[in-house]
Amino acid sequence: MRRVSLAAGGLVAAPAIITTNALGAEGQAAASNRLGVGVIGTSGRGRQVMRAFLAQPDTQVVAVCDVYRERREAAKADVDQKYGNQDCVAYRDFRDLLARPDIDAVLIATGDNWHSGVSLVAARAGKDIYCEKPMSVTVAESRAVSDTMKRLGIIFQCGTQRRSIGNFRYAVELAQSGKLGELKELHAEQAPGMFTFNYETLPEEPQPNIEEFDWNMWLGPAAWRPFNAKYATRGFWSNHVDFSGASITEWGSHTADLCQWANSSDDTGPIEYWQEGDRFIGKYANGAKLILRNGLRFGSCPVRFEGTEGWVETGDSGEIETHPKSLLGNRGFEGGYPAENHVRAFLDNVKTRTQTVSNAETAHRSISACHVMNFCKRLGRPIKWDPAKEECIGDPEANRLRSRAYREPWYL
Amino acid sequence: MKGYVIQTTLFAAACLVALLAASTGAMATEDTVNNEEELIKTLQRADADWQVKQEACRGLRRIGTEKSIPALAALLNDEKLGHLARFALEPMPYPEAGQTLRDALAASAGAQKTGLIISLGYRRDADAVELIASALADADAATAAAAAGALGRIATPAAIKSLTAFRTSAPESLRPALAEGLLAAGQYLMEQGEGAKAAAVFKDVLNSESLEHARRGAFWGLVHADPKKAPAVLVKALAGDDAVFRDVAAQLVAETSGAKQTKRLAAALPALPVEGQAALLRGLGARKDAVARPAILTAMNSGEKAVKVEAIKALGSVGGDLDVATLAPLLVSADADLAAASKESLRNMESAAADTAIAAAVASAEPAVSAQLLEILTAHMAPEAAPTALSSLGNSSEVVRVAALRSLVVLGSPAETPAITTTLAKATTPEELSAAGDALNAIASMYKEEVLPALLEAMGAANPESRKVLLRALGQIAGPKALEPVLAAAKDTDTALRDEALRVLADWRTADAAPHLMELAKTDNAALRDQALRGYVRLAKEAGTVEAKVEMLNTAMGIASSQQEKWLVLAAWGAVPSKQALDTLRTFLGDPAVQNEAASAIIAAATEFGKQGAEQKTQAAEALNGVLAGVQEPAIRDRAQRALEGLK
Repeated sequence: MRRVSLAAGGLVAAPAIITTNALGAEGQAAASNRLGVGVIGTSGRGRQVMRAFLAQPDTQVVAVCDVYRERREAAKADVDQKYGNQDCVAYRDFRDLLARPDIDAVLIATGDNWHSGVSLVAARAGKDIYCEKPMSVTVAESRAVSDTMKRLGIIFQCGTQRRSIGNFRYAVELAQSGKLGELKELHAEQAPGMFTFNYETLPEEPQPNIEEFDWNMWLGPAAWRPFNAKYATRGFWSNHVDFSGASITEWGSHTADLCQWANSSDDTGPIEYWQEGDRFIGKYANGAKLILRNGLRFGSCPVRFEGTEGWVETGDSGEIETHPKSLLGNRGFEGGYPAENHVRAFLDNVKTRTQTVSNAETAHRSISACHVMNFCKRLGRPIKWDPAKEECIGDPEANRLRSRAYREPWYL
Repeated sequence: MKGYVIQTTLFAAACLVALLAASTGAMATEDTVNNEEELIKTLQRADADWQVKQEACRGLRRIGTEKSIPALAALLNDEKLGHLARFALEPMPYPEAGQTLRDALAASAGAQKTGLIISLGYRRDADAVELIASALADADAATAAAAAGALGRIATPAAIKSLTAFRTSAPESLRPALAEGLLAAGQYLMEQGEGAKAAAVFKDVLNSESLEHARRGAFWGLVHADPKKAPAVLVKALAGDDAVFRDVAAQLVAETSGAKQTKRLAAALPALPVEGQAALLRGLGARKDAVARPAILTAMNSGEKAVKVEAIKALGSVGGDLDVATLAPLLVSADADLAAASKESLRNMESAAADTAIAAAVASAEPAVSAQLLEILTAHMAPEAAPTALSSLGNSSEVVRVAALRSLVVLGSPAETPAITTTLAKATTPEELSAAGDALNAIASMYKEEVLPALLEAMGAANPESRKVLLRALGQIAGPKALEPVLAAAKDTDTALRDEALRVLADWRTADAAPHLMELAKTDNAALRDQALRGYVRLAKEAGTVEAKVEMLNTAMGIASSQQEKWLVLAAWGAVPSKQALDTLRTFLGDPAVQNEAASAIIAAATEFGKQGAEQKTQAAEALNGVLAGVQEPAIRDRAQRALEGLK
């Protein structure tokens, strides 16, 4: 039986220890005992999570970065207002931000297309990383991120913050502790309204001034294409095959991740995948099924775990229902999906060099499950998957979808 | 970086659609196109532009065979399409694809050269080592870094040798990429079962590199690559002065395994400095290997508090039922840190046997300990938790009974309700009364009518204090049956009981309380009147239909006499987006005493009402214009004007 500690955190709890970076080792400037943080990607979500960093007493956001001038300046204004000074520096190119020795950790909240790429460059610069979900757009990308975090001793927390939220943790604990009996079905909601992949190439428009909007940096490791402003709109890129994984990765990065956790599959994944109507199903070696679907209750990103002895269902509304009722007792949970707990846990992990709850390997495994479901969707056939080798069995065509050649100079 | 701009025309896109449609018989995409011959021809067509060729490359990424390689090869050094050609070639399993990329690399420069190195690295092309190694000295920093990364992925002896050899002459800016390349090589060797070779690479980086994150990574690799020697490596770090490396070592102790290694680590514990012992104990606790238990028990007797605290915390994770008796007394240690460590330790116990032991200890421990054990058992969701809490209600200590009641706040069900009401009846202190009330409220809120009989029975025999508690629990159930005893209590001669009943009534959640609240709202007692009217108006807002809301609010307005009472009712009208509400509210615009409140309510109601249809929009606009005509307050006029514009 594994216990999911309701206190957020990783494997080992320890007294807070400031890293040598923050203390100014190796000729670096001291940071007044605060962890220096840089924020890369400052659209709505980026600024939302940034506020969780700003709220931490042991953290100093010193720089922000965005390819949009308007966004990075708005983020700088947020930071400066918080600290009552003008010290925050706004960058267009994240490599300039990463070059600063007073930055210990970065928040990465770019578009999906860049999550892995920026994580790799940040790790190579020695920064610890809190990166928004979904972690990657291909299996190979997040495999590379996970490997790189290990070999460079980087603390990485994926922004799957529901791992730090009470109702979801409680549901997972019911599953992991055996109180639901043998797990049979793990239901994960997929995002509504973005089911179909977008393959569109748009007509070229005049490219904006690079300081206003850096198109080349927005594209990042994705294939170059002529500028059109529509690409960079959330509703367009988020189901475009070059930039995201559409409905499956949008919420599956959260909900399939919780299912993986509930099934104690953080270091593996299903072995067979197939599509039934608008449902995508993965079957684990233990017989349990991961079912990505729509129609679950209780707000956004709901999950439902069913076992031989009972079930639990919960979502962002904070509502939670179990069968039998006694599994829940009279417990109640607040709704919402704040990042504060998750950010706080990350900072504690950074200070103690301990493993995060949403570390790179767990996030890679859960987003990989989503990617393989997308193989079924894109190719229209079932996939047999070897979680150890991370390859499709007997399907060389599907295997080619596991990666995409990175556009130079970016590399895995 | 691709600074070029190319012309993409709608005509080209139309050509592509036609081509793909012709090849598949339907609107094809890169995921469905299936005619390789057509795609190859597209790449070879002189009149095909970027748009068409890039789509062909995407299709060949999925279905391209050796036949497509020459056509793709021709594009590799094309500034506009080189990356897309790699897009197709990189994942191909054919040796010819590798040969093509190598041939192109030999003749490439700039961005294309960097890209080719990246693809050859991704393919782990051992035949490309010499070519790539020569690029380590490239004047372009991006190309040199990509070469280091590629050689690390390839990880052959020659690749590793080229990386280590170049270190001595490398510019400072390339050192991080070289270090990472070597670490990647070590990692790959380890995955291939070449632990000794991997360890040699990691050791080399650890000893030669000054970058902290590279050293951390090398340390991680060394421990994982050679598990037999791992304890010695970890102990050395734990004995050192570097606090970060001690933490990393603790994490590595946690994430590695092996009974023999655990034994060696545990044996090293006494000789470590205090900070090292504390770190190792953290790691051993998270490692969860019972082999470490004797060493942890010994460390619990340490004279150093930091060591003692970590030992206590670790014991819960590696120990079991036998250790409950050791940890439980520490829950009430005078030293708060030791007490907290003990609680954390017991909380982290995972076995069913441990829960059984904790449950057994509840009955025999001193009261303060029993209380905390009950809390832990509850947090564990242990099957013993509810029965233990139930039996603890009969404990002679109030501390234990209160803890049991708090446990039942979470775990209680109708089955435990009679015992709780019995405890309530005997309770004399505010704390126990409150805890019993919390438990009953929680159960009533969850199980509603199921617990009504038990509560009604208890009401009959209860003393005034416990009756007040029971009234609140009845309020959680609501409905006509629960209402009866509340109404009876509202007429009781005991003033305190009566006041409590009226408070419960004012918060009643079902409509059956409305007539009674209206009666109370007509009395002369100002405080009671206010409370009752607020309750009535709240029920009015929650009524099921607009008609019911209108009727109730009209009734409420009919008895509202003070200015505050009128404000209360007018504000409620604002939450009823209907013509009736707007008509009623407009009649108050002429009354200076409530004009502003009426106007605010009109703005709120009209804003929502106007969304319901064209006719409603017109009526909402009329009401808002009425506000603009009759109200002078600038802020309200401004809001009305904005609401009016919002309707458009």
